Amino acid sequence: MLLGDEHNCIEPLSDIREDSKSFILTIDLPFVNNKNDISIDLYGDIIEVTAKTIKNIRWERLGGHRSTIEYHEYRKRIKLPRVFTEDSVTASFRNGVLKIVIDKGYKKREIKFKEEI
Amino acid sequence: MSIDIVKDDKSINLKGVTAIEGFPDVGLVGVISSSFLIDALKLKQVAHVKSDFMPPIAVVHEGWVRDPIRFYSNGKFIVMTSELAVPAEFIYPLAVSIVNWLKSEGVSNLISLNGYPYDKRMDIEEPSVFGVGNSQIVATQLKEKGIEIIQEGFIAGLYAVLLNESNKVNLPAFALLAQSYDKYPDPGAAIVVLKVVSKLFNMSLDLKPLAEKADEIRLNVKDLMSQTQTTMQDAGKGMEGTVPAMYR
Repeated sequence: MLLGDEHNCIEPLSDIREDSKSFILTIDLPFVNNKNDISIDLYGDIIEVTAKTIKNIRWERLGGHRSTIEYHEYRKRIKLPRVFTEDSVTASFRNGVLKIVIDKGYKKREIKFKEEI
Repeated sequence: MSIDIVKDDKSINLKGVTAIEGFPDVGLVGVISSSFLIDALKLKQVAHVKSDFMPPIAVVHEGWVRDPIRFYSNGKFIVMTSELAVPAEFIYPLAVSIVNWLKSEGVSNLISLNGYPYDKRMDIEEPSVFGVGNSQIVATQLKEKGIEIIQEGFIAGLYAVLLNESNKVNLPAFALLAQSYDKYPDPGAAIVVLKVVSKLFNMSLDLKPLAEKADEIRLNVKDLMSQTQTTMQDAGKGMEGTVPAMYR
């Protein structure tokens, strides 16, 4: 499956950090109403988020000639350190911020001491 | 390298006035709060900062250029803000110049409005506001006003230097810090900070318009937030929220 094209999309602010168990990705999505307007897709080691806004966002571009551009969708692609499957990923959306937690899948394995002689 | 604070209105008298600082920092809480105050209190531009420390950028509004760091006043308050992220190497000399200028103008006290990074911000509706004073006396006064004090921890950025430097010239100062997203504009955090300001100065600010325009504000200041993220890293903001390893 191909990644979506970036036409008429705006890149949102985003952040990725990690703790010992997971990568935590957050994306700021003003004007996005609820989780039904958000798609999260995994393409191997790339995660792509698209989100529809409840109204068109107008942006004025200054340059050789002035033009107004309208956006109605956010799109953000982030390269992950390795390939993950969808079972490792959970998402929540509150107060206009999307949070995606990617479980690193590390299992606890107890190391035993050698028997003393 | 030089920094000049240039008065645009030579007739303005700042003696006894309260200075409020809202520069770009965590969650852009200062910028959002100060912009709101400039509109709500109908403040006029009274001064701007000229410096060769700053990148050669001017801001165009309504067809004419302005300096990015501007001060506004109505004779009771002077509100200081910037439309550009302040480069990390400019923070210290700028803060020293601001404090010396405010002191020479006879300003009575200095308040910084800011965000304090909180990693669970997404899960709370109404962030808490904490205070930091530039002396034990100010910290006690904040407590008496019912403001919870940050007991221990690092603070970083322009407001941290303003607090330190104002103490050296006996200018009472404190910072009001709302729990905030560190890397996203946070109008919700600005609202709780402004509620405290409103209460402290009996202002009866109507904050509904700010809540209604929250999404629009988040989008409008997106680029400033990106710039600020870069300068925050260089200014040691990663230290904020950690506890100093000092035995007393």
